[in-house]
Amino acid sequence: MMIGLSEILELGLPLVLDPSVLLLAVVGTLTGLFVGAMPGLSSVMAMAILIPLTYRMSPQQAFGLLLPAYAAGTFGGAISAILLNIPGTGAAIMTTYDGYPMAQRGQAGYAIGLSCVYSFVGGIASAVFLAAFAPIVAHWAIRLGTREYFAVAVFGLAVISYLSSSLIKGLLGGALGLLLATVGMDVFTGVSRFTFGRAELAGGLEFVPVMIGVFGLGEILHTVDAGTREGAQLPQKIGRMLPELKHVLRCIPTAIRAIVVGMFIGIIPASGPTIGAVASYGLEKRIGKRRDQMGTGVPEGIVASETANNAGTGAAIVPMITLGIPGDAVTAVLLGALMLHNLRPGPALFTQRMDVVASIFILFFLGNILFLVFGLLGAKFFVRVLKTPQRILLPIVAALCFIGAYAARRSVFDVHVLVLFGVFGFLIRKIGITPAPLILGFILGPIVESNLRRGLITTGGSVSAFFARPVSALLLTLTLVLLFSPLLIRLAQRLHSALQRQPGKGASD
Amino acid sequence: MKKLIVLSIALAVLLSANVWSRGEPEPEVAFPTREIEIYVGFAAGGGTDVLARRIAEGMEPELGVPVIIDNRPGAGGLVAVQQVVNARPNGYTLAIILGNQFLQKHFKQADAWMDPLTEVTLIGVFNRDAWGIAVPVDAPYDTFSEFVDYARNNPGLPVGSGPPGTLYYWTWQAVVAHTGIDLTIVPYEGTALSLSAAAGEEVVAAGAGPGEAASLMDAGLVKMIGVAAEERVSVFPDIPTFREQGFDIVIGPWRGLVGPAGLPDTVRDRLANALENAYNSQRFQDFIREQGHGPFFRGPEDGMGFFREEDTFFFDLMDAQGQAR
Repeated sequence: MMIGLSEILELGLPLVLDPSVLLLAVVGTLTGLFVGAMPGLSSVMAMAILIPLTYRMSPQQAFGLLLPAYAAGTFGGAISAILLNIPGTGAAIMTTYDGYPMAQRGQAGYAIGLSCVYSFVGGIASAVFLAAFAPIVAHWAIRLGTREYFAVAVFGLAVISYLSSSLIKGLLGGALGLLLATVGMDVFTGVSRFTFGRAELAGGLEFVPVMIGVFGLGEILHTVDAGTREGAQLPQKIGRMLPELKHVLRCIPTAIRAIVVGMFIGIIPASGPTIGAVASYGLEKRIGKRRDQMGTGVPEGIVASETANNAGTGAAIVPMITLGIPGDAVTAVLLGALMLHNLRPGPALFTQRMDVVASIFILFFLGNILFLVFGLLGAKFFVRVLKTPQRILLPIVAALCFIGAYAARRSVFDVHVLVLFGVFGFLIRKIGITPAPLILGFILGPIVESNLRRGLITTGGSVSAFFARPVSALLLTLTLVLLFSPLLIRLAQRLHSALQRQPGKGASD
Repeated sequence: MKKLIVLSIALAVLLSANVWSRGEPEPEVAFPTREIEIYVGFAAGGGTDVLARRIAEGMEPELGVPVIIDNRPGAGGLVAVQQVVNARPNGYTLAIILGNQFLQKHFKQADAWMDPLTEVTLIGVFNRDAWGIAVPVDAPYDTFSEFVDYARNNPGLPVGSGPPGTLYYWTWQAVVAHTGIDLTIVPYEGTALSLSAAAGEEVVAAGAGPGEAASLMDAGLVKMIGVAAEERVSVFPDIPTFREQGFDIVIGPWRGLVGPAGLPDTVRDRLANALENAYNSQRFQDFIREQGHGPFFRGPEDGMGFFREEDTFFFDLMDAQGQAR
C-alpha cells in the first residue's frame, strides 16, 4: 500500500494552508529551536509545554504546532552542542565531538549552518519515507522485538570504545554509565536497586537532570576552573556563517549513510533518534573517509550525527501513526495528541481520516523547511552567544540547567540530582573521562539489560537465539567486527611485517 | 530586667500568634476561591493524563475556578500522590490515584509506598478500564476458554505483562490464580512494548485494554480473546467478557481523585459533587466511550468500600504468591 502524492496534496494542503495553522507552525518551529538550543531544556519538554495548548485546537492546528517543534527541537540541540559543548537534547550528544572543536577554531557559524542543512536533509528524507512507505515498513518493523533491541543497544555500546582518545577512560566512562543505569526498580523481579526508599528513584535516575548535570553543570564548573587557573576564554571568533558549497557536497556520502542508519534505527519501535545518531557516528568513525580525524572538528562528524537524528524523527513517527506504538518519548506525546482529538492511529486513520494523515505528512515536511530557514537566518544571532562574556554567559546557562532539571517533573529532588551530577561531571573531567561515553552507557544500559534478560526468558535461555534472527545477527556481527577489527588488523600487520623481515621464507611459498 | 520584660513580651506575642492561628477556625468562606491543582503522576499526553484533563475540564464550570493539571510523573503515579499526602488539606491540591498505589502498599519488594486507606481523602473514582488479553491474529485460539485449554496442554507459554509491582503484572497472576494454568510471565517496560511483542509473536499473548490494542487490532496484527469487565466494552461489542466464558475475573486499571487526609467534609462534598457532574456530562461520557475507556463512578462514601475491596484483593493475590508485605 503506497499513498499517492496527489492524494496527500489534494486532501492535506487545503487544511494546512490556513493562516492559523501556518502561524502555529512558525510558533512551533521557534519554540522547538529555542527549547532545543537551550541547554537543559529538551525537545520532550517542548512537546510537554505545547501539548496542553493544543487541547482545544483542531487536529491540523495541534500538529501544526507539535510536528515543527519536534523537527526543530531535534536540530536545535546541535546549537548548544556546538557553541557550549553541552548538547541541547540527547540526540545531539554526538554533535559535541566535532561541533565544539570547530567552534573553538572559530568555525561556529559554519558548524551550525552545516548541521542545519544536514538536519534538513535527514528530516526531509525521512518525511518522504514516512509519506511513501509508512504502512509497509510498519508491518516489517513490528516483527522486530527483544533480540533486535538488544543488538541495536549493544552496537551503540560498542561505539563507546571509539569515542575517547584513551580506550580505557572511554570504557571506564561507559561502565560508570551502565552502573548508574541500574538504579530503580528491577523490571523483572520488582526489587528496588539503590533507591534508598525514595519514590522518585523507583523509575531510575531521571535522564534530564543526569544529562544536564554531567554535560551542562559539569562543563560550567570545568570552564570556571580552567578559567581561574589559566585565564582561558571561550573563542571569540565567529567565522563565516554559511557553509561553503564544496564542503556541503563533500559530506553527501556521509549523509547517505547517516540517513540509512538513522531511519533504520528510528523505525524500530522504542529506539528513537538518539541511538540512531550514535550508531551513525560510530559507523562513520569506522568506515568514513576522514575517520582518523573524527573528533577533532571535521564536518563529517557533525553530518553523521545531525543527519541521522533528524532522519530518525520521521521514522519514529511511522510505528506511532500506523500501529499506535511510540518510538520515543516525543512520539508518545504525539500519540497523546492524536488521542486527545479522538483519533485512533492505525489503518483506520489511513482509510477514514486520510485528511489528518495527509496534513501530518505535509506539516512534518513544512516543519523541516521552517527550521532550515530560521536556523540559517538565526545562525548569526546564535553565535553571538560566544561574544557574551563568560561571567555573564555561564550563570545564565547554569540557571537554565536548574530550570530544566526542575521543570521536567516539577521535582526538587531532580534538582538535587542535577547538583550531584554536576559535581560528578566536573570531577570525571579532572581525571580525563569525557561525559559522552558515560551518558551513552546510562541511556543504553537499561535497554541492553532488560532485552538481554527478556530474550533469554522468551527463548528458554538460548544465547544462539540472538543470532537466529537476521537483523539481530547482522547487528551483533557488525558489533563484533567493530570491536575486534582493530585487533585483527594489527595482528595482520604484524604478521605481514614479520613475513617481510624474513623474505626468503615468505617468498618460497 | 528591662530586657527580660521585652523578651517575655516578645515570647508572649509569638505564643499568642500560635494560639490565635491554631484556635481560630478556618473562616467560613465559600470553597473554592482560587484555582485548584490536580497532580497527575504520568507525563502529559498519556492515557491517565488525557482522562484527567477531560475530567478537570468538566469540573471547571461546576466549581467556577480553573482546574489545572500538573504532571509530576514517577513511580507509577506514586510521586504525585505522595506530594498531595504532604500538602495542606484545603482542597486546592489534589491528585489522581490508581490501583497501582494499592499494589505498592502490599508488594513486598516495593520500598516506597503510602496507604490509600488512611493517608488520603477520597473524592471519587471516575473511571475503570477493562483489562483484556490480546493475542497474535493467527493464534490457534479465539476465546479465553480455548486459550486456557491450549495453555493447559502447553505449560510455560510466554505472555507479555508489565513489571512486577504494576497492575498489568498482577492481572496475569490473577488469571493464573483463577485458572491454575502455568504461564511464563514476561515483563515489558510498557503496554505498547508488550503489545508489539504479541503482534510480532515473541509472546503468545499480551495483557492490555481494548483501547490500547485497538490500533493493532485494526492493522490485523492482534485479536482480543476477552476482557475482564463486568459488561462488554461498548465500542468493542465483539469482545466477550471472561465472565461470559465462565471465568469470574473482573480487573482493570481505575482512576480516582484524592486530596490530603483530613479534608473538611464540606470541601470534599463540594469537590465530589463537581466530579460527579463532570463525570455525567455528555462530553465526558462521549469521550470515554469513543476511547474505549470504561464507565465507573464511586462517590466519597461508597468509594471507600471500593478502596477496601481493592486493598483486600491485592493483598490476597500477593499473599498467595508469598509476595505480600
